[in-house]
Amino acid sequence: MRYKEEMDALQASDSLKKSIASLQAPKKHYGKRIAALAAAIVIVLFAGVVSIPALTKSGASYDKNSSIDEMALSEDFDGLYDYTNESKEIAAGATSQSQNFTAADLPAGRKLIRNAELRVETKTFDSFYDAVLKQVSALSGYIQSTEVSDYADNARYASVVVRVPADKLDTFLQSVSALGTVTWQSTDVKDVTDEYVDVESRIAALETEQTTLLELLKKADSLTDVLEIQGRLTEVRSTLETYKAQKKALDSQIDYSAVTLEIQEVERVTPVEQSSFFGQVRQNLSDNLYAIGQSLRGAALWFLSSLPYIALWLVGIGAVVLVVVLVRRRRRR
Amino acid sequence: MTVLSKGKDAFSHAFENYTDTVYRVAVHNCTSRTDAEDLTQEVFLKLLQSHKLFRNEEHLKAWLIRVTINLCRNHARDRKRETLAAEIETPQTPQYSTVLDAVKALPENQRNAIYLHYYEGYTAEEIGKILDAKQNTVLSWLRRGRDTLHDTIGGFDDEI
Repeated sequence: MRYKEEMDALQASDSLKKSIASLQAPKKHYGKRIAALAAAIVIVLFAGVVSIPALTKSGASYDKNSSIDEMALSEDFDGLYDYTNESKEIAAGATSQSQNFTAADLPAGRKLIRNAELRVETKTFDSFYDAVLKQVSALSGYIQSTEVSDYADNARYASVVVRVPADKLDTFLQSVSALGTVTWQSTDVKDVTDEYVDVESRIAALETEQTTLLELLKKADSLTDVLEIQGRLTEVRSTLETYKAQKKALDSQIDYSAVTLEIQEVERVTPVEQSSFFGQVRQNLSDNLYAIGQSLRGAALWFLSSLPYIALWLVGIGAVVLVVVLVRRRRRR
Repeated sequence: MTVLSKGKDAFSHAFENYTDTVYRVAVHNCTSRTDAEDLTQEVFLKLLQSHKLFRNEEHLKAWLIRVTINLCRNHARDRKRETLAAEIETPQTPQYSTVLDAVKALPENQRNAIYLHYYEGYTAEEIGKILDAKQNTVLSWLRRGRDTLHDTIGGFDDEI
């Protein structure tokens, strides 16, 4: 229970609570707020009508190469209490610019470890999965781990960690964006140049010492000296192997970037946020029609599943009605 | 708090009941306690300025958690813009003095999932709704988080 104990002990300090308590807002001037709100509504409507260029396009063009990076979780969510299509909120919350560092942005001559994480939605799980694996192979990469889940709602999910040559990372990320709908993407860069140089220096120094010790060993003429030199030689070799292993691990991480792919099978991919007013109208209409379709589907499913109960109720009601009719006829006679 | 509530009412209730929760989420997602305290204050300021109606207590708590994660993420992104060079890490297995340190070393989604499940008691489905992810995804985060903690600190026994 260590984690729970640590969390129980982790509490906001009294000074922090005092600072928060002092944040009480001053009285609001409602008259001014209403006027400001009305002005804001007028401006937004005007801006929406003016941005008409989307009308000239034949349809919403989804740019599969655009990545929605480190999106803010929508703070207007009602996700816990509204069981409608959640994926819409992801796109609605997408406001940030891409934060990816491509190879062109990185300083030259440094030892950098670049890794990435993507969350992808696809309606064609199998073909997407196969296409990604083929792309990894084509780029001379390899699969580090895979995990495929298939839960009760029949929506499959896979978590795949692949390693691709670092200089092919951007190519791989672009190809994944072209194959599926990327709903979240993050890249991470670690500069390990100083550590790398330090490890190389230590290896060089230890190799020099090893050479010196071997020469001394040849010239040693007493058993005591031989034992002492051999003892030191063993230590040097052991330390040398450790640093060589460290360098090898660093080289592996530098040469091959790790990409964690979370692949979610969906019925309907997350729509991209439209920038124009009419584009949003189109998108909202599409979403509402889909929601209506889902509701009708749910209603039909409920009705068909409940037929046995409905039949029982009808039989019961019919029996009651029959009894009532018969009793009334008897009374008339 | 049983019905719709906003602004000052929600603030009072959140302050009395969820200050520690917000602080813990901030600690999980910030590199220093100072940053965590600053961001905790920002969350409550945001609540005060918010005109959102909360349907019930759970809705308020989930909103607070989301906002905290958002602010921590923005803060980390702003810091990353200043320099590409992050802290140098060795390829050897790191040593952690506390379970919290090991959990904090996990990727963002995994550490938040671990905290929300093993300490706050949310189910994977509920965590998915808070973090905008499918239940399967959350289950995978929890599994990978546990596996990593097993490798780094020899296990994670806080099963609910």
